Amino acid sequence: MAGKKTQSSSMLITLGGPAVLLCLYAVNVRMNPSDAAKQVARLEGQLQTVKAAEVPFAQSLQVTEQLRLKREELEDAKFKLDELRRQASAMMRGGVDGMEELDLGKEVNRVLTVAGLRLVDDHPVTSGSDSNRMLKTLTDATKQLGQTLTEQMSKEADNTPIELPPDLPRDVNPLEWMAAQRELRTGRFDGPQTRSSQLRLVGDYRSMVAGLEAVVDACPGVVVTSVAFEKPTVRTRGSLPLIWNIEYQMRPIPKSLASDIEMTDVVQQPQRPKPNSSENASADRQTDAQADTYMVAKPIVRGAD
Amino acid sequence: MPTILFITSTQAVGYSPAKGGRVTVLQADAAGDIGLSIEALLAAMPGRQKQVYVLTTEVWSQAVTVESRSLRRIDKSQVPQMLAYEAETYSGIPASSARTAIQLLETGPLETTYWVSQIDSVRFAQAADAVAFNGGKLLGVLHPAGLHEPITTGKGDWTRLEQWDDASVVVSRQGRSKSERRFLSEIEQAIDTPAAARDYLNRLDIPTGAFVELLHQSAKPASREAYGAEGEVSHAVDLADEHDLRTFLSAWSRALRSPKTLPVVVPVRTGASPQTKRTLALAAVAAVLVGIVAHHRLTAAYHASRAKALESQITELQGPIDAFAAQQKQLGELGNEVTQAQEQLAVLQTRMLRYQGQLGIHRARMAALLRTLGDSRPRDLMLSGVQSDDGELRVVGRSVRPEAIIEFATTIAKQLEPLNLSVRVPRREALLVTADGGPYEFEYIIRDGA
Repeated sequence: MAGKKTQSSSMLITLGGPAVLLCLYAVNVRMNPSDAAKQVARLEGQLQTVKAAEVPFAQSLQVTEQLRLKREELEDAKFKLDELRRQASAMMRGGVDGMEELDLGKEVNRVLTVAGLRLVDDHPVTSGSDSNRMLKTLTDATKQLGQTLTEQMSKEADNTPIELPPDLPRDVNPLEWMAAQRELRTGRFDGPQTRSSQLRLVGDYRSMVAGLEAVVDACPGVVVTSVAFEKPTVRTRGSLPLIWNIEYQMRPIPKSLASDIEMTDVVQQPQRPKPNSSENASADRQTDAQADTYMVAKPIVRGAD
Repeated sequence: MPTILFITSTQAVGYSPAKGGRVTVLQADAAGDIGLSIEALLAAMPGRQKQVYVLTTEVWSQAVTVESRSLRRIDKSQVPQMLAYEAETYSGIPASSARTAIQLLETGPLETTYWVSQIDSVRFAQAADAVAFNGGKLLGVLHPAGLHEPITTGKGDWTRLEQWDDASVVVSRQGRSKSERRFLSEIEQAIDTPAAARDYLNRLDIPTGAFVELLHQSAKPASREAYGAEGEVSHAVDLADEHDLRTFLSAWSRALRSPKTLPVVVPVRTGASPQTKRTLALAAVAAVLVGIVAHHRLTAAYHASRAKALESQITELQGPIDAFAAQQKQLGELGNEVTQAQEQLAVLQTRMLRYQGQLGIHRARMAALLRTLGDSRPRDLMLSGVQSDDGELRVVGRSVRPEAIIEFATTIAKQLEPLNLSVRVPRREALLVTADGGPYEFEYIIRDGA
């Protein structure tokens, strides 16, 4: 027995060193894990976190569907906004050139003459004197619309590229179209350039009322800004003629809107063309532009007695 | 359970408890080589015997009595050596070459008796080598005498008389005491019946109990059973009979589960030399170092691959999460854009409506103004002129009744309000032509803005 014990103890001593070494290594591994072990522990924790944050497939699908619907909604809103801006831009820009001024003047003279008035004098008014006339509310509305349009266009002009529409008609030069678009987007919208003219007429009151109402109907680009009359110093036979002094302003009317402004009084939102109807896109756009209508607060003008 | 090899001068018997108590019986080596007998036996037995006890009559086994006082003088670890010297005379095996195992039988103030088993170390080595040659391990060698439990029955008091070629032993147990073993001197006359055995034991004044077993190594018993008058039963164990042999070896197999009360000669584990120890220590240190390095490398490789797998797994899982987050962010941004676009649209619509409304009003209002003035004018009120003056219209006229001036002004003010025109009466003057002060001259100022 003693021999066995001695043998066992000597073996213990022999193997003690390696055992201690092994224990020290095990303790070291336990107490001071390597960077790789730490990384593995960190990654396992991260994996648990990621697994916990896993998104159910149904939820992902739901968000995808919401995204699609939201994109469509955004495209729709932008399309409507673009259409409205295009129309507003058309109203807030442009001017009356010499030929148009002559044509409009002729038309006004003709209408008034038909109504029974006699033209005595006709001369243009120096530009810039409109502010003295009764146009304050119209000027304010024009300023507000122009300012809104300028702000909205300026915000988008820098970030939004101008893209050629796929259905651009072949007879339209793309470069010119893009230049026009850029100008429309980035320019200022201070309102259309107007020209004013003054008329001196002779006629009775009823003829003038009829003449002005006829001008309202026949000349959409004409705004009568001032009316004055006085009695002649020399009496004449028959009805009492009055000497009339009227001023009117000639405003450019977009060709696509000219007829609509005159005739309609209901606002219709522009309809976005369906993607499938690409064949008739060009034609639809033209008809849409013609069909666009605007509210015109046209007062009821009572008929003459 | 260990395999039992029972080897006498005539037969070699193998007993495998693991194989259902299968017994293999061979002739013992004629030359008496225990090693050859064991090899032949293990070769004949099925399978590999991993742990082996050898019961052999090659072991000298007797009781040796020594003075108790001499035992007290020596260390306990020296007792086997002392008994080996004492037994040398009887066994004929030199103590220096004997492998000795002892078991205390009885001790007294004067004498102490040990059960001593001895075998020549060469023979023991032959047995150990033979077992090792067959892939087993020798657990010990002992004499088949002195089994401390009954062979054929397990209840009540019993006594067994064992007659081996070199020893006669009586093993008995009375009541709940431990089994007692008595080594007898040579029996003069062979006892070959159970009844004779009981008589012999009675003559020796050995309490026999109800059950007596007779075991004879070489002689076949004349009768197997004998019954006494008071229910006494005597039974002879015939080692030539396979059933009795299996029973005998099975009893030994059970007894050797705890061989502490048996003098089993066990292999000696020789201590390693200092050189071996140094070599072993160095080898262990080297193995530990190699193990540490290998562990370090393997761990590093495992960590690297694990980290890579985790990263790929995280990337794989993170992708949909990032995409989902990006979608949600995009959804929020789109919502803001939609709101912004709708707000811009609403503002622009409002401005356009106002502009167009004002344009329409301005286009029509001069005509409407003239018509209103003409239609609403009372008969006793006359308009003499309208002057345009610095952003306003000055309407001048005369009225017979002064109140008609205000009534007319009130009427046209109501009618001109939708046209953004306001009416003011800055002057109303009586001309004092008639008795009531009339006619009256008045002046209206009509301005832009309601």
